Amino acid sequence: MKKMRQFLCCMLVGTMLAASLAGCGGDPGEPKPEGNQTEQNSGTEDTEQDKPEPEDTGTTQEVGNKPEEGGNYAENMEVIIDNTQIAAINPIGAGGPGSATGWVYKMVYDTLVTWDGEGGYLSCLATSWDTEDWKTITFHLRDGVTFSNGEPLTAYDVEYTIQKALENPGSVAGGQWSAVVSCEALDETTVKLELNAPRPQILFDASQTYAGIMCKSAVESDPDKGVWVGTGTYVITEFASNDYVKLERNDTYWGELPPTKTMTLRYIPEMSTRLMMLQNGEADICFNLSEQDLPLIEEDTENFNLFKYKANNCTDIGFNMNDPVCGDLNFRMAVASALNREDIGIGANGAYAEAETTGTFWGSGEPYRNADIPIIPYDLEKAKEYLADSPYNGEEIELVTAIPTCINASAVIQQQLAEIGIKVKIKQTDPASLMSSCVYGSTDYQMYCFVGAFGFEPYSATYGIFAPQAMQNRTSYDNPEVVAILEKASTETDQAKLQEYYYSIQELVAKDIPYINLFYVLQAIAADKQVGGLVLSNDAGHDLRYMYKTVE
Amino acid sequence: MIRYIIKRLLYLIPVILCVSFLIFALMDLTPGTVVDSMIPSDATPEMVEEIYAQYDLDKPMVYRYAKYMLQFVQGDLGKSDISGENILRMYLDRLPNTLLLAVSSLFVAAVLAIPMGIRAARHAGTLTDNLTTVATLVGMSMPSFWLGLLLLFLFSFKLRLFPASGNDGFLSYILPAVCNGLTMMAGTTRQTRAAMLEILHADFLRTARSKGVPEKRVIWKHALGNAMIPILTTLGSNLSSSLAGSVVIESVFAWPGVGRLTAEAIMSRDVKLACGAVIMTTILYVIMQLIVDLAYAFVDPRIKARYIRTRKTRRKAA
Repeated sequence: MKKMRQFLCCMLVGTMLAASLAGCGGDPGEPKPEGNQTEQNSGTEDTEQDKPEPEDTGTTQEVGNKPEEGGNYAENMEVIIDNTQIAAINPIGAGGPGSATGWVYKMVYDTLVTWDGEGGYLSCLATSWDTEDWKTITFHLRDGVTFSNGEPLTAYDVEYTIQKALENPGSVAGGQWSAVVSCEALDETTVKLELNAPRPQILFDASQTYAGIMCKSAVESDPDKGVWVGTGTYVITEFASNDYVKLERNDTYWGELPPTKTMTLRYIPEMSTRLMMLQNGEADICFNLSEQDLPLIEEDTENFNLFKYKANNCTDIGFNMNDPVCGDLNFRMAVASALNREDIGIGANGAYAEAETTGTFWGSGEPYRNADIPIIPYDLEKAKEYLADSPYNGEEIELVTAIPTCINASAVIQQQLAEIGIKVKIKQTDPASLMSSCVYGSTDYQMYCFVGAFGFEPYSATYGIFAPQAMQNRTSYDNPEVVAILEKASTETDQAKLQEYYYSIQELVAKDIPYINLFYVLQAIAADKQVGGLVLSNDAGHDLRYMYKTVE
Repeated sequence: MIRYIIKRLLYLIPVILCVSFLIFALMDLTPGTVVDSMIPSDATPEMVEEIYAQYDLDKPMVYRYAKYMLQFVQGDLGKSDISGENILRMYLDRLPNTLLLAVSSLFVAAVLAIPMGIRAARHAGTLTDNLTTVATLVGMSMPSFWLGLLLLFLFSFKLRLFPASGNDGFLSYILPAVCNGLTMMAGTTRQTRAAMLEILHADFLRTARSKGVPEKRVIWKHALGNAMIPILTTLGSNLSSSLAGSVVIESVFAWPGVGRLTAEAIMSRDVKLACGAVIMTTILYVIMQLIVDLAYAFVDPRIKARYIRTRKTRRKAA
């Protein structure tokens, strides 16, 4: 009897374990639930005015299902945002927002101008602008634009927005308008900006998502929720910090009305939960899934689309140029020659990575990228020669890293560098700690592995990464030649000359190799088959305004 | 008893001071500040200084701590450095979700654990007892995030019975409550079994049985009533821990509770929000422990009698 009991106990435990393990498997072929819980509407009316954005450019692409003429759209869309949470929606509040916050800003606020992705600018709230020296610029505003609360847009709103941004230098908008010294509304539709120096990049700054124009009267009457009033395509109806934001179409929008009436952007911390929500039909689109889950969506072509794009910023290695070992060019050449980027990409992000093939340290979608700079080839013999000529004496080199992809990459780097005799000690940390140790002049680290920080405006991006004292100069790189060229580029507007300057900077940096580009993460967005109208940008500044889901 | 309650509540003052100083100091020692991500890439050193000064980061930690505590004693937890929202409001917005999850999990745990524990104790050494032991061991050793994912996979993805996330409506409460409840249940079952085993052979139960009291009444009233103190302690500790928020469960089920609020504040180096959330949780924790202690008096007449005796002694002395 006792043996029988023991046998039964073992059977029970075994069954429970088997059931638990069975639960770990996925079922890519599982059909979506029948029926659709969303209501329908009959689309939008055609308007005379042009849709202000988006256009397909080198940095953006419109993806998804193309609707038929007169097609019906779902009234509501549920969106799972990426790993960046929406902590606040307030242009004059604390800065440093993630990409998803930018999507909301793009939906709620309009900017004076929009960037075409190739160095040109299109009219938006400003129909024209004039300047003689790029130190003073005058914008002429569009007539007939109203805020979502019904107030008309005037130059005084622009003046107020910029002044508030200047009062709060650490705010979201503060970063966009930092070059402005004064701002004055000349009349109802004209606003003049005085800049601290000739700065052609002011148009780029004015086109950025966070440079949206707020309604003066709304902010003054309600400092908390008044900041949500913009002239954009959508209006915020509900917001819970770091959780969700609900948006409703602004039916008084001056441009083309979006097809979707309401949209909820939600942050879901757990990747597996995101996948299940998408497969259940609880969400229509998910901006971030783990690379292990992506094949499940990719295989289910009947129900889902997987939109891929190459990130603008490469995962890279940075060397602390103040360090006696890493500051040596031979050591950096040894590391560059010992790295097999293909393997690092695969190790870091599986099939969703693309190895760098050029020798430039420049964003993949960045204007003036010099793709002709040759990459330092993988050559272990050469690497050993460089190492022998370096001051490296077999000591442990600390490699600081954060976020899973970079941590995985660091493990492969550790193995590859061990092949030429470099001992690497990996120090895992969180992004905030990593960023704070990799500041200009720091001696707290030797090497780091993280994601680059290029923006689309070449001057600001280049200055931020290569100028001494700059905030993103994580390697303490200081080359006077680069600084001199940057100085010239700062006021140049001629495209050919700008190309010459930026090409030279890239060549100089490629020789100094303070950074080594490793691989680009292939970002993948999983969406219901019927989703379309999404404009992807390879800096993750996607445009969700005209996103829709077609329904029968 | 009132004197006892006041005394316990006064303990809160040193506890809050210690906890708040600890969190402030630890976050100050951690590399990175809340403004690191706010500084534009082409910011001048003057602009960087101005931003640091705006958040008092140019001043020593003790100054910032004293300033914060001065605000706190005036009943103001301050505003989040990142969202600019009132911290107390942020906390109170999320607290109902955490309370709901904690209480419903406790309900699930109590409803399952107490009968299971009693049954195991009554049939100690039998198959029922062994099965209960195995089940509780599995429950105790299974990580809650894994259990949560299994529940999601089965009930949300496969059977489509419950939504995978959020807190919209009754159906969305079930999976997080069951997941958290099952985690709590394992320990409570073991505690119930142990407490009941000690008491089942007590003389007063034998007397009750010999007087013809039905077995059900003997077990559920007399035995359980006397074994209730350790069970109540376990349930109370579970409830207190749940009030601090379960970051894991809240993350798996995208449940907007105070645990995630605190964890996210720490990750983003929002010192004021982290400190405010920790202070609020400390207050709740201490109050909950006090309630559990007071509840002893209701389940155990001996403790109640002790309170009354103390009061009488004091009156006489006066």
